[in-house]
Amino acid sequence: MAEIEGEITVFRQIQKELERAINLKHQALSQVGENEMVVAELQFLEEDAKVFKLIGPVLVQQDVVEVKANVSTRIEFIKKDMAKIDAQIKDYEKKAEEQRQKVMRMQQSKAAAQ
Amino acid sequence: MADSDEKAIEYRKQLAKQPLQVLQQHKQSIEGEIESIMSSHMQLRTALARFSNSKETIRQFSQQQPEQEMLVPLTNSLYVPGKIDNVESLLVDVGTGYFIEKSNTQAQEFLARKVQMVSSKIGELERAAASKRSELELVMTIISTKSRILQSQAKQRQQAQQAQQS
Repeated sequence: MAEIEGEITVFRQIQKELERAINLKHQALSQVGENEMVVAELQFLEEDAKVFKLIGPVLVQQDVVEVKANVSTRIEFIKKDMAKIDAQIKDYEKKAEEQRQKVMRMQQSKAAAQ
Repeated sequence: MADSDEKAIEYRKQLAKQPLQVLQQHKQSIEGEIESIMSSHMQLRTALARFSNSKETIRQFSQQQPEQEMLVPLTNSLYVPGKIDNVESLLVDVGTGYFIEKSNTQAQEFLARKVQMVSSKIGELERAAASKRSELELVMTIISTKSRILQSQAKQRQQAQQAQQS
């Protein structure tokens, strides 16, 4: 009995990790969305437009070309991160399924023994 | 259209084969999906209100004259007197910490674009919610039909048993 409960706790833990990874993925997705909106907005600008970046509490003027490059690299960066998170999610899903099967087998053999 | 009708019928058949417990779970997951769609819908509505509000504000601001006196809010309850210097140039927050200097008209165009984008997203969500709701209805009808059938079967069995005993 205690053994099965231990395995169930392990299963719950894996599920928690999975949930955390999925949350991270959602966050990354919304970040990409926001950055892509900024890129779309930058496309409308002339070369000499004034663009500022909020650094701490101050606005610092930036070069338009530089900003475009910066935002694009950020998108790339987040997308790479997202691929990592995707792999994690797959891994946890697999682990959770394995653990679920394990618990089920234990419960079945216990029921058969009774 | 005929294709999606066929799919709907197929989906219905698949559902009707499922045991009651699976259907209940399915119902719960659809309910959860509807809830999350509705919460995004709410968020988009507030965003929409914010954008249209800002647009209206700068439209009114553009009609002010330079040198016009105004009270500038320092806190919620503390204002200092000031003068409008320039109604034509605005700093627009485009997200992720970037601000772009825009003319008043450009800023209004920017906000109009945002309003349009958010409205179309809201429309999408409303369509998604409607289709989920009809799915939920379908599942609920199947659940109630199924449980009625199960009940009448149980009753029949009971009656058969009683007939045997007597």
